[in-house]
Amino acid sequence: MENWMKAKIDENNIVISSRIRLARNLRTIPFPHKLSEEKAKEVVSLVEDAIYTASPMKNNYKSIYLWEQDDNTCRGFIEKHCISPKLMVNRQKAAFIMDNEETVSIMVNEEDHIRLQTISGGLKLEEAYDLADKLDNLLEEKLEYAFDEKLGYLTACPTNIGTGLRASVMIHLPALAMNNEMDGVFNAVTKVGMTIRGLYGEGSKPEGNLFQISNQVTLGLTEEDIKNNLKAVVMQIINQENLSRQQLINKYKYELQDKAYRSVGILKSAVILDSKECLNLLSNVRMAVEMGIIKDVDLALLNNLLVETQPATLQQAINSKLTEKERDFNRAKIVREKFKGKVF
Amino acid sequence: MLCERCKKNDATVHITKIMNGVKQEVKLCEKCAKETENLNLSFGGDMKLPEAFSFQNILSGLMDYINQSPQGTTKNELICKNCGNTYSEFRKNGILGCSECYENFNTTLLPVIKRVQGNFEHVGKLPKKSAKGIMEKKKLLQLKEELQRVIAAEEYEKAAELRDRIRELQKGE
Repeated sequence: MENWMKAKIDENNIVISSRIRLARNLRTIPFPHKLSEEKAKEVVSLVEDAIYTASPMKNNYKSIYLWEQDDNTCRGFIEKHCISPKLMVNRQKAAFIMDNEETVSIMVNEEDHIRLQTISGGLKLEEAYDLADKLDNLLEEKLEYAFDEKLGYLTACPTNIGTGLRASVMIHLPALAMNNEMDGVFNAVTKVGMTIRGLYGEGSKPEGNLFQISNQVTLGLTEEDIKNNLKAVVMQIINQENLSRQQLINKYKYELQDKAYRSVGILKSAVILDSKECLNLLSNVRMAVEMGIIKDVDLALLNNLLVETQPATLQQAINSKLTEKERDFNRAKIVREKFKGKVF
Repeated sequence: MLCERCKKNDATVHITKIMNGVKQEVKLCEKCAKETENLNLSFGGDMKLPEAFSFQNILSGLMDYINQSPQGTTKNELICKNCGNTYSEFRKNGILGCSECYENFNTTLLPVIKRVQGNFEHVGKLPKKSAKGIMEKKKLLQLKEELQRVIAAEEYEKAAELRDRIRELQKGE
């Protein structure tokens, strides 16, 4: 599976990445918030024993203990979507096991004992699920899962029981946002048992017209149903977005071109760029690339910048703590360098 | 005078708001004024939704509503024997203490689950090891249903085949 930040993406596809998350718990052991640091670390070892069974696993996966990491490193992992903000909250007890490609992350002691996550570039829920399913089977060989015949996989919060599956898709919807149609999308999506949120999940504000759509109901549906329902909804939204884009280009062709090239202009030459402005400009360029207004820009480059311009990742690249002002300066610098030599 | 929000442009828009008798004045540039207007009430964009409005709040509200006993309040506090978690703790943070809590809080929890999920019965993946028995049971049920169907359809050859498979499964138990 390809890392979403590097994956070559089809221009017609406005889905940036697909994510699968399985919530699993160990039987009778209290959930992470009820565990002492010592006991929690025992759970980490149990999961490690279950995962590092054969040599391919030992060579391709590594453990990262959050209690050994500093703040900025943890935030960097969040920005890359390797871990959830909640895992960092539990950092004294928490760890995660990641593959070399950074597509798999097995979080230990988040809200549940195990949160197994796989992310793939583009709309590839099946691929992401198949891998998660395989790893889940591997874990279960050695671990005693909490499972109930009626309620399925038992989780700390009743909103995750049953399949424990949350499937989500990160999608770029600038035209719908421009036409003020996101409220309509939001309403429609919630009616069919799904939610839509910002880039970094629960509670985060939508920035740069990037949204995450995921299933809300986890019990009483098969994994197949959940994936298919989500896919159907996403296809419908893609359709709407494309219609909106078509309308825009019919009515406001020059305005759209103007917006795209101005955005490129700023990204190529700005000396100071704050995070929000940067995400919005990147969104403008992304839309122009997706619509064929701008050619010769790789969407993978834009995906990459999405993460590299985030505060913690910026500081990691420079290897020092930066003030907000310094971050804005360095962000602009990184963007300028990436766009250097690109003729549009 | 510079805009109080972006501190870059000249402040050309002066907004005075009186809320609950408290007067608030802001001086903004045109651009920021436009932006803040989009954000409705927030001055300087630093207004956040209070954390208080969360899933947990909604859930505990729901629990209160569902579990109102006819006589009024419940007197006995439920405690999970395995982890010591109390039902009121769950009510407060929406998170259970361990897998056994589901069993121990069963009666009060099930209606909540029904509300949240809209469903009762897991139909998805079964873990190979911990659900081995369950899987066989489900398989048996499925075969028996199939048997009824083929008998009704008078497909006796198939029925015999199914009967043998059911026998085999039952022998294994």
